[in-house]
Amino acid sequence: MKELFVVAGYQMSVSPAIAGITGAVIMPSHVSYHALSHRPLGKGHPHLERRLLDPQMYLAELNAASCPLPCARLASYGWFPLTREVPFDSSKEKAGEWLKSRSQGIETAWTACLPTRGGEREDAIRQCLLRQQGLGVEAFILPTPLTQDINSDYSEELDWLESGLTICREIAPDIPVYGSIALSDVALRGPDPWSNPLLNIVLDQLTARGIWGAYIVPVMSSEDSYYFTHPHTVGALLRLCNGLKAGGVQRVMVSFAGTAGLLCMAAGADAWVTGWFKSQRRMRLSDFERTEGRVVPAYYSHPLGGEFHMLMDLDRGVGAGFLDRIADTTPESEGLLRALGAGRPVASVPAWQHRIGNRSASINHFLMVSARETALRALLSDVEIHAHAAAWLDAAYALSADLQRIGPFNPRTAVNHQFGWRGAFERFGKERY
Amino acid sequence: MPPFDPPLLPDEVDHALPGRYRAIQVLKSGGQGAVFRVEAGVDHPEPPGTPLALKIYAADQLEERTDREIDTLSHLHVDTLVEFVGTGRVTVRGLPCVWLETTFIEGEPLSSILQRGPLPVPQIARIASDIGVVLDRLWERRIVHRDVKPDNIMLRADGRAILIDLGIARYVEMDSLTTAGKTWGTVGYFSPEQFRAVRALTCKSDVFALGVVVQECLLGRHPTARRQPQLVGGGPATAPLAPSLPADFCALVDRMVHRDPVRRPAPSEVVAGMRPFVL
Repeated sequence: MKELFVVAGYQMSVSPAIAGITGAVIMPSHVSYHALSHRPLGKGHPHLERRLLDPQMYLAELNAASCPLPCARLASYGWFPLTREVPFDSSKEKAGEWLKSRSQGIETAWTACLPTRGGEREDAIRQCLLRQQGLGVEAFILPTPLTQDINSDYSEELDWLESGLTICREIAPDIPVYGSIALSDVALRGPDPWSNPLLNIVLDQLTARGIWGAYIVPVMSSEDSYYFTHPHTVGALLRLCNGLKAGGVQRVMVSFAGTAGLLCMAAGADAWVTGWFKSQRRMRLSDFERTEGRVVPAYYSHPLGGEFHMLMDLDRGVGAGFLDRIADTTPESEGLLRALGAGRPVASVPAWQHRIGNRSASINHFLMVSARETALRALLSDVEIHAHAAAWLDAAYALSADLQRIGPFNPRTAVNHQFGWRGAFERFGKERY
Repeated sequence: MPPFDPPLLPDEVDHALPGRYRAIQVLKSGGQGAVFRVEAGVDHPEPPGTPLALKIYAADQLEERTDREIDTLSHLHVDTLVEFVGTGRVTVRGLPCVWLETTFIEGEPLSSILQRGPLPVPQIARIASDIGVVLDRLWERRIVHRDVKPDNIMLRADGRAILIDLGIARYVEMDSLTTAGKTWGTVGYFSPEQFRAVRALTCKSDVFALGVVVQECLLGRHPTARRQPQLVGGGPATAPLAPSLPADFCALVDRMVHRDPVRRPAPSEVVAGMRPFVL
């Protein structure tokens, strides 16, 4: 089974026109518990019928002074250590008012530390799992700290895992459990992923514990793009997925890897988690220090494995004769592609015009493509998925290389990661289990 | 210079722990300590005359986790694992030492049996299954033995294999496990990751050592003559080690000695996989 989950935050709606979204993963950094607990999950949001909650303990060391809103949201869940309570009384204030007022001065309550003192960790895990259970999740996701040191012996993370597994058995032994792996790309991009000592330990330790599921979050620290570009980082993701499945983990889910999550399906991942916004596609801690910024549309072309900036780049690509190669037809992109084919510019199609906030068509198109590609992989055998991914990357790389000849492009136009992805996948083909 | 040179003598044990034991016999003596067969004496909580194995190690300090692990082992009861009886500290020759008592198992060490030649597959499968059960139960408590080898496996007259070492010795024989570049175990049975001094080992490391023991039983000698570097890439292929070996048996043992722990079976899989080959 191959499945697409979307990131759920304060904004949970997904267009009913998009079929094939299996479920959603709620991100506490995106929505406070007080706002979440008043939402009728599932009703009006069919994709939330199957839901998970990522505890995001890997964000414990965020600096509240520079990102007060996310820290206030995280603080509302009760498993991050605080120096004082940040109370919420629904009879006196709305969740939005609470967030606005409590985020001011949150830095005096937020410790920016993991709960490590006697019993704190177990208390945090218990609170986290009870909250998840209360929200009706289909499986627990265990909290884990962020791993940034390639020389880590992973012992702290294993302590979290062991405590989490023990508490799960106590409170709800029948709910499946995902162990979490949150790795900074700093620990992934240096060494060859196939001999990376950290990955050796992670794979050995998690598979030896016979866990049911693994939830992988690659944290982008050394790049600033919608896409991981370094072949070692992508290779590490592929190796993790492949090794976990080979070691008997029944379900592997990749989150915040952008469309590299889709690629991970060729390495055994069962599900990937994404959204259209940058904050839903990548986990980069410094992103929390600023708002998303002015959102403008972008056209995702699956043949390219990336997006086009809409101000000039897509028109230039079409003008250079690339339309057939970059066309990716969905109900949302149909009109755009028809106009481009007729020689009209992007600006002639209102839903895709480069305007701030003009994003609905881009979001829906991206999610439709993501759902379509996921559904396609669900129909293929492992061998076929591998062959399909290899052919996709070969073509995407050739296309990106050809496009670069007419560059330069806006950084939003993604023509730089395909080379690294193809290299990582070729290596994966030789080294995989 | 080892702390006990010349080796410890029974009289010294009697002097250090007066009244606790009688009929003290040396079983094995090494630089870091010695193993004795003893009988419970008048001051021992066990009934007088109860046979016990006593190990005395020179150790100036123990890690905190040693106490936790000893506590865990003292509550662990597996038919094919020697049982913990007691532990304590004593001064011998002016050196701080740790003593450890276990039940005494009557039988013959596998290492001595193998000197007479290879064993048949059903007997090997019985040994692998019996020790696999122990490794599984230890790993349930997240304990990695780190020293599975023929010297530490005793075959009783009824054919059952017993792991006669609790694996605690690693803490007292080398309290610097936390020092990078050092490891503990026996050359020739290290898993590749253990040989690389990876600290965070799992049960898969013990499964590797058990796989080497199985291969040694098939050959009647160690498959690489204890040349550890030859095991860095995993153990040798099993099928050529003896004639007419069952394919499934070879496949299982090949997985046990795979260089990558992810590819090795869990101890419970070893037990299940060996079952069809046990008579």
